Amino acid sequence: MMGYRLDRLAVLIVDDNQHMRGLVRTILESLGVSQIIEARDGAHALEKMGQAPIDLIIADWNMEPTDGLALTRHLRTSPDSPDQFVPVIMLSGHTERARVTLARDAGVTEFMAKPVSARSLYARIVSIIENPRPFVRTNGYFGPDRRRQMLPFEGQDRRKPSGAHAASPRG
Amino acid sequence: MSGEKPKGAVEVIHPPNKIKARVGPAGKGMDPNLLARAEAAMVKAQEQVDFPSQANPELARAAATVALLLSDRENQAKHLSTLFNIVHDLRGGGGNFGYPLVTRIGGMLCRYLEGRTTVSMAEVEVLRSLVDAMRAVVGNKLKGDGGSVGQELCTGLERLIV
Repeated sequence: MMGYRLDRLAVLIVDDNQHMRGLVRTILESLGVSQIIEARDGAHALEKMGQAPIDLIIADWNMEPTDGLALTRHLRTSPDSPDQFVPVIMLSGHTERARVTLARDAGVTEFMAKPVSARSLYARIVSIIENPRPFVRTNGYFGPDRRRQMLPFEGQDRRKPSGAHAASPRG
Repeated sequence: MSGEKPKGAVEVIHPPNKIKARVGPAGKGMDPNLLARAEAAMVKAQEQVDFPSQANPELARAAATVALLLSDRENQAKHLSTLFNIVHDLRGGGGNFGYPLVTRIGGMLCRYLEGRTTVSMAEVEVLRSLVDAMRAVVGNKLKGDGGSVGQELCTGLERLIV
């Protein structure tokens, strides 16, 4: 069966726990990813992103000094961001709804609760490939569209496309 | 970044799908063979990690932090944050390296601490019990769900934090 050429991806793993980095690396290598870069925290990740283009980031939430949330916010909103649109999968032991909402509001693309499994990580990578989410910019937010499902809703749709990459909001 | 937008204005951007362009058009969904290979490799990698050797020093640090909640009360907020971070990491790792009981008890502690900046003496004792329970689980290498001992332990702790 011909599948996606995951061997062409450059993936950055950001975690302060080397065992967890090793585990994620093992999964990625088994899926065929050959270019895997590791970083200890958010600041280290930005340093690594300055050295080589990255297609996907898998970041832990809790890290010191720069955690995964701060890294995501920097990527989405800082003028110094190396890539505002890079997909971010956030790994976390946090499963509380408020925490998941916080991650979503920082601009993560996918949230993944620990313990990590090969299936859940693979599923999220495939989801990012097959169902890319549009980005939205408001006064208080820039990041992937937080409305996961394109459900009809009551009232006026105030979202309007713009820019060179814009397409129909319903597209 | 563009300037200030009118209140309620939302701009939608469809960035190019760089990942899709890179991995090519040939795939669809998850390849079951690839998934099986990744799952097998993961099990092997998990078995090679000695979770107690990384958890024990962290649990000792957690116990010392609980002691500080009483001896250094004016800095309780800082110590609670430290305790939360230590236990949160253990909670994340436990389930991946054969100790789901650490994840379960760590989850109780994190929920108990959520949003707190101060704790009473009685509450410190609850925290101490939870940290001691995690130390007992790791110290006695209670892997998996810990059997009946593990279940009893968790049931007792759940009553404690209600």
